Amino acid sequence: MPLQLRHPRWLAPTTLVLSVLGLADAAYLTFEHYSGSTTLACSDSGAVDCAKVTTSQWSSIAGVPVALLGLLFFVGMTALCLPQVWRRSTPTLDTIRIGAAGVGLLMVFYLLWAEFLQIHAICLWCTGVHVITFVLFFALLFGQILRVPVDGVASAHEPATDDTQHVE
Amino acid sequence: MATPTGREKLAAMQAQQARAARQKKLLAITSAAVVVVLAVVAIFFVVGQNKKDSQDKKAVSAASNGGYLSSVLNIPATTYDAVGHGSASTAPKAVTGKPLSKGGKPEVLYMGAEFCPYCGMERWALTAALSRFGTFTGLQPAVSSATDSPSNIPTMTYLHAKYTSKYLTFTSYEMADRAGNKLQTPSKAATTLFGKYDSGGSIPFIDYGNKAVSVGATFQGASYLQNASGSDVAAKLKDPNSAEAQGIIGAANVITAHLCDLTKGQPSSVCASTGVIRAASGV
Repeated sequence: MPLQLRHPRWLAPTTLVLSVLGLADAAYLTFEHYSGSTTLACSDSGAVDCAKVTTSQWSSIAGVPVALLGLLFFVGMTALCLPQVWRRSTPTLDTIRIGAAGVGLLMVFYLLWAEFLQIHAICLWCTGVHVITFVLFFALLFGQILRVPVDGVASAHEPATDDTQHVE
Repeated sequence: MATPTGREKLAAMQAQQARAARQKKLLAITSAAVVVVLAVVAIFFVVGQNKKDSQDKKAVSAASNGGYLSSVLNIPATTYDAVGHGSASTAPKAVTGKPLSKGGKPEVLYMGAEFCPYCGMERWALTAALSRFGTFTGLQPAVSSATDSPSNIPTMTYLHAKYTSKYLTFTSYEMADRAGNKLQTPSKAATTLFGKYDSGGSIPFIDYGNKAVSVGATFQGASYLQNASGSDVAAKLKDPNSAEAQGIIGAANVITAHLCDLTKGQPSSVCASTGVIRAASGV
């Protein structure tokens, strides 16, 4: 009989908190983008210069603001990391979650390339989003690897609980 | 529920051991991936820093050759006429105050700093415009700050400049050097005007005889001046259709129209020129 596994208990709350923090950060950056970055709470000279980053030519992709893309990303991640979604999680949902976070991480690489190599300035709020995306991706990955049998070695004979999702 | 047999227990134990071994391997791979991601970020940072330092050195080196300054002071009248208003984006704003003069001539007051990119842009246009009414000596090449935005604007500094004209007087204050260290201290009268007309405290601040003032650059030159060399910019000024000529010479014509207002249309060779009239109509 296949072994039933569940995610570690820290995974659902951790990913939800990270997603909500990322959502708040991205929402703020989106608001600032559409309000002309006039009230951006950040240094505006030297290496840390949020306005220089958020008003640069790299702040949009094909006319779509990257802040808005970030907001949509975290709306999706927050939905995927809600407790009820975790409880009903399936291998497909796990793959979507990790895949989406992986796409987010690739976007972070692109934005870091733009900040460090093209704009020569760092936006603190954007860095917050980058760090959250990085931690979220690896939290999901480690959570997937660290799945444990539902009830120790003998779990194969136990009925599934709410947290039990996968079989191997 | 049936009790597992010895064979089933053994199979479960072996499966568990295989799972644990695979988990250990995946953890090692993922930990390595974390390190790789952090290393890539560090590489981006180091390469970006080196690129920035290299651009800074290049800008400073290009500015050490001040040959381009003579081009700004000797723009042909035909080029001014061909450009007209160009892409000048803002005109000095009219004000009503006690006329500003010195030695019986209307006075133009400039307050800026060497680190400031928009001062660097505006000096191109202001220098060109003033050179049509008099003579500059002591102008030196300069480049704005590498850490400000936009960075490394090639320009000139008024720190040791002298201006002589039978129509106007020019008073300038470069208040800080490229690194932000204090240089010239404005007079009390200049500070009063700065406080009165520039409530935001932005530079450059230029007062045209107290008949008009401008705050900031009067053309948008960041895209083509950032990290450019002064010689390249000066060369582009020869082509009236270039972005550089449209911006710098267009703004110079707009400024010239305001200077003509102060000099009551003198000299007519400048103030009645096509370029200035076209710029004035744009104003």
